[in-house]
Amino acid sequence: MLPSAESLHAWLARVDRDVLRLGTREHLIAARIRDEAVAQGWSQTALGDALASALATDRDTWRELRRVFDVELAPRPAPPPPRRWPRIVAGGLLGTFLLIALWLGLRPFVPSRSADLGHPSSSDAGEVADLGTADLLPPPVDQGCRREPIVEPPRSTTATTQEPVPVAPLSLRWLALLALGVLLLCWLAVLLLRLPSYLRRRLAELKEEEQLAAQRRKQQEEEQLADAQRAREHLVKEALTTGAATRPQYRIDLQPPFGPDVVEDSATLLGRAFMAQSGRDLDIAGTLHATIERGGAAQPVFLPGREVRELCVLYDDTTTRPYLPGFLKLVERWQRLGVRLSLYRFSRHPTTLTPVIASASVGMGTQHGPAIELADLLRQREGCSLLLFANRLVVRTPTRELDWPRTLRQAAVCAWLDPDPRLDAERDNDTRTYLEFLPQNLPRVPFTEDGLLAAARYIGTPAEGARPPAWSPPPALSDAHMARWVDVWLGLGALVPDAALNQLEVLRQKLLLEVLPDPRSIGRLVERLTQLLGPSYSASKPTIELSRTLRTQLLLKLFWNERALFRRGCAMLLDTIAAEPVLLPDEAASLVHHETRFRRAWYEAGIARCDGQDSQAALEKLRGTPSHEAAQEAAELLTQLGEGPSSEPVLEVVSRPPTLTWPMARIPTLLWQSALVAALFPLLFVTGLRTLKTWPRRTVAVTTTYQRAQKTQPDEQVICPNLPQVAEPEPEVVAVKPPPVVELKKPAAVAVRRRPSPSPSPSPPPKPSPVFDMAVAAPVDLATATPPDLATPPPAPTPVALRPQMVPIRSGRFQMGSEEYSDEKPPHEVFIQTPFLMSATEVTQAQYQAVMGEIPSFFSDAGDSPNRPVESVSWLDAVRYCNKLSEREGKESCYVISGDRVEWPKRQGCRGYRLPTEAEWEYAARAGEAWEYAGSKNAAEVAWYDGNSGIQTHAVGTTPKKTNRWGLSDMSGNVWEWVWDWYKDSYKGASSVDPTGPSVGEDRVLRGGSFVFVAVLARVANRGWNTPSRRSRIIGFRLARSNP
Amino acid sequence: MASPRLHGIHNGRDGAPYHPSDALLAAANTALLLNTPLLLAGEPGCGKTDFAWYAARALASALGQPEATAKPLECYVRSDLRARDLLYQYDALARFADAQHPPSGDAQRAQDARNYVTLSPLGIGLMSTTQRVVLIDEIDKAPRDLPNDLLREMDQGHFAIAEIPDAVPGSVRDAASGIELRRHMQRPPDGPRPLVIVTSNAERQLPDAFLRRCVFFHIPFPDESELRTILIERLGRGGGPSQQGAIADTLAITQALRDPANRLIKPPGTAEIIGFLRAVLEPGREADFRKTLPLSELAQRARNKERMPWRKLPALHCLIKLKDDLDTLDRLSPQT
Repeated sequence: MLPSAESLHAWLARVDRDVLRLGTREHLIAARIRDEAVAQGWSQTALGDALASALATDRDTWRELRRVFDVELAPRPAPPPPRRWPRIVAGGLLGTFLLIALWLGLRPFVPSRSADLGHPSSSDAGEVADLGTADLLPPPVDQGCRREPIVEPPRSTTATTQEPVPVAPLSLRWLALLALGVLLLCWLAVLLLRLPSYLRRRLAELKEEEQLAAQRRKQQEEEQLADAQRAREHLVKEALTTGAATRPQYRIDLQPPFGPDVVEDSATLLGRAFMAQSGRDLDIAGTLHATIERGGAAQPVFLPGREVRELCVLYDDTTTRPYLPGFLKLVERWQRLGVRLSLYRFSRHPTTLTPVIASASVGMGTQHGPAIELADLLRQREGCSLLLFANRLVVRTPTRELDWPRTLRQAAVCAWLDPDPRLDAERDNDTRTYLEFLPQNLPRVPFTEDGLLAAARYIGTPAEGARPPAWSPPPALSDAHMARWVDVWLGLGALVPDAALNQLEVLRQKLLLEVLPDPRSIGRLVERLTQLLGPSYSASKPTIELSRTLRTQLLLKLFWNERALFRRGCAMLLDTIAAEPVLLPDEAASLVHHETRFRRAWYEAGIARCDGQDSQAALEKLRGTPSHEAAQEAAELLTQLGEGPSSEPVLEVVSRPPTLTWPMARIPTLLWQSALVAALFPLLFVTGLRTLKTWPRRTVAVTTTYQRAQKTQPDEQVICPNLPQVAEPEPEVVAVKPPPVVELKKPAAVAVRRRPSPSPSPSPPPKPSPVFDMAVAAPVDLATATPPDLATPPPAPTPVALRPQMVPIRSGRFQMGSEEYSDEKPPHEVFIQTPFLMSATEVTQAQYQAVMGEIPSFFSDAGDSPNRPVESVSWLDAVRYCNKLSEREGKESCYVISGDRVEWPKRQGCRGYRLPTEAEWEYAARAGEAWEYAGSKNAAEVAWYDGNSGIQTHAVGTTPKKTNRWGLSDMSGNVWEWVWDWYKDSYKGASSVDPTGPSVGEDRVLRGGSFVFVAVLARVANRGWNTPSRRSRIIGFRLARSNP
Repeated sequence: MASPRLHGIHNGRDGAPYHPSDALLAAANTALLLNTPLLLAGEPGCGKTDFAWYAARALASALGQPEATAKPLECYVRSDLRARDLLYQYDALARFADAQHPPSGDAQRAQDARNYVTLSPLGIGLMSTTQRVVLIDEIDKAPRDLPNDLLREMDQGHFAIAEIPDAVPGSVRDAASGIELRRHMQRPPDGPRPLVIVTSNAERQLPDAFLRRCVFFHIPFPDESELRTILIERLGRGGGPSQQGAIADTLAITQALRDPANRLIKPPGTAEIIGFLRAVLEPGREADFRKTLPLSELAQRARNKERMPWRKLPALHCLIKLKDDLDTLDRLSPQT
């Protein structure tokens, strides 16, 4: 049914509006097409195609036109009648029926007498009276048989004039009520069944809207993030180039962790340091005694005087920065208390010292005197005690060892006050090694109360037996108290994005002093950090970098366990930031400005959150600025800080289609939830039908408010939730397969039989050629032979011998085959049991000529062709060469040749020259390494293949890397090498000890690749094959010889 | 006179039956109805040129003419083609040579310009008494203004040969087609207009004025059943289960290859798939495919949606023609 002209016109108008500008011509064309379609009886689709083709000019427009055609002109199904109205009407009818049934059902319970009594009648009065008197008369005495009733039954006119009340029979009443009940149930059932689909539809719509909104929001956020990141990178770059600060500095004021009494005690102890010296006071009694003893010559004896031993305090001002102000305050107090000390400053190691002279003037400043060496100092102040204050004492530079430790031995007493109060074993590795180098007389004392007292006692005690102080470590991390508070401490540290150890120390001093009084707890903190962060953490790093998940976890734990501390921590840090000097206007665009802003907002939000205010706004303001990411993370964290475990939204349950397999637990919920919703339904009649459109929303609102009510509870009653254990994502471990280790077992002690070295070959030397010398090579005597020097390449084969030099190959195991090609599968382990010798190179043309008397090769007219491998030899030729060579050298021939059949009866027991088996070849080529080609993983180094050979053979042993590990050259590339085995297209069924291949076959295996093929075929595992009689200019061979 | 309708199955260019889709037929019939050119776009090898042969044969059969010899008039489009050359060609050099050295038999030959005018396929088509199909193949190769220059001629259906003077005695006919040559080439007013089929590879954006005068159709890559039909037709209906199996495997493999997720620059088209199948099925070529896997195994992997070792596909060179595509496939192959 084709569209009419008007609908076509309407369609064209729509297309003109939405898709394509149409002119008059297009309208005429469309009309013409339609007429033709009507005349010829085209189908709807054909008409659509034709119109689309006529009007469109490219594929997308064509598709669009087609779609619009289908949508607009295709016959539309009749819209379904509005379903709501029948239900409403039915509901109304039911309602009225309900009322009627109620009226019908309840009416019979009205008593009939009420109508009787209510009827007014004056005539009745007499009857009533008669009635009454008649009743009062005594019953008549029996007067005989005939009895007429004396008293007539009273005929109340009222009763007769009234109609009898229609009393519904009992059964009908109950029936009506039953019907009513059934109808009610039906109505409820209808509601229950219809409701979910409706709600589902609404839910889907709402979800779609939500999704769109979420998408838009996400897009916006992504744009903001990109902008912010760009801005941040720009600022970071600027900061790096101009050297500006990149993060706000927290002014740390670490107080020395001592109460005033400790300081006084220590001063007292220090003041007791005396040096025994010869005094000026004459000991009169002694002098007299000594004079008398000497017989009159004057012998003055002085009383031993005491001089206060001077204390030299040396401090390092590079690594002790955070503790230094506290220490200097301590020193100042000591000075005021009268301890005689002089202050020196050094950096990194006390070789060069700078005296620090506190100026006498009221103003602060300190002056520095000229630098002095430690040795000079000790000479000047003989017998002084030294107190070192440093975090780290450098003992050696990369080039030499320093000698201040040796110099230090001249000091009488020295102690080292270490502000890092960890035990020796807890300090990280490099300082630990330094500790070993420190002189014995330099005990290390922690900068804590008892440490200070112990040091003071040590210095002050004049006796030599004074032991250096020892201290007890703080409780271990397994102690519950310690563990808990260390975690709280770490949580407080996580508030600062880039906490340093000294900042954590400040947090402890200011907030955790009651629970963690011992400054040595920092050691436990470091231990915990190492536990959490693993080996990537080291205490020598300036700041602690916590991962995002870890930070979140710590903060959440802190928040739920110690809300007050969280708040106080935020407040403290806020004050610290606020105390910073106001940034100058031109610094407003710097990174530190943004960082400060972010941290301020974060701490404010942290405090405000606990009071229930909406603190997201503060962090929201930082969107789009360079602190965007950090602010977003903080905002997410804040949302997590308030939420409890999530529950499934109620609406989902209701909107699920009813199935018979619903779990029983859901039904009660569903029933009462549906009852709740159904109870709203009559409400809507009262409030008017206009609200019907908002009905689902209302339902949603009701149910979700219920939902929210379930979730939110007053803050104080929230029990610390079980935080899910957020596992740190495992770093991606890329399994690197180590190269297969080929175990070469040491061969069992082989009884080496000395063979007499044979006399030179009896055969006459072959015809001399002017090019090369034809001396016969002596066969290698295995007893005295040394394996060829693997480092140096084998000598180039000139002068030419009958055969190439042989290289002994030990027995061993290896993996034969590979996973790459089907004929190299399956890779299996092979044990080469019999040691053998393999020729170091392929058989050259000269060598072939020397034995066989001819050169059949193709590449025989180049300058170096005598040294090029012989090719164009068939397998049979090679076998014959081997036999002939064995004869020549007086060995037993391995092969028995009968026509085209060749047999190898003694296998590896035969000692003559032969072709290597495939397994032997691969074993020798692999040479115990994991390279793809014989000797390297780069084919160009070891092989002549099509990429570098210039499509011709090359002289043997001339590749850039001449041999593989065992001294064999040209195993990959140059020419293919015949081996013994028949070719079978997989290794299935191959033997694993000295395999010699299948017993029958058509082709013999070729190994090693050639100069004309791609490198892939030159791999050690690659197998080629060809008929044994084939002569090809790319095929040569190589020799082997067993040596059992 | 009602315009003829193309329908039915006729042979394509190489004699194999061509199955046009209904939408394509509707577009062609619309072009016939409106006497406007039909612009066919689509991937190379999807059968645009083939359709011209189909159209010629179908038109011939619709008009009751012998079908077997029906052929479209092919215009050979080159990059230096001028619009005038599509209508006629004038050999000025030969005329000049003849004028210098008149040929022996005909001394006055050079006098008449009409001897040196040959009508080109479009000209023949416009002037032909029977309705022909004119094929302008790959109009992208031509200069951009070529279609614009032809608009008037294609609209009105007549053209002028400027080299022929106005009033010339005698009548000379074009050698190839036998149409009389005059200065103003007209045809009978109710004579049929040819169906001009223009194919484009969408390499170039054609001018708007031309596009608005065309009926446009984009030939999509055939879906699986259509492709199966095409392959069966091309390989001959004979062929036992092995051939059917090969066809099924090829379909699976090419479907995997043409997956848009692979992002090939030039995914294989219909013609290439046909070539691939021919190469694979030709007997005696197994020796060339040494390090390749059999087709059935690869097809099984393709059906299981595994990563395919594309380099092991025999005759991959028939399907993939770009080095970049080969690199892409290497990256998609399983790394072993």
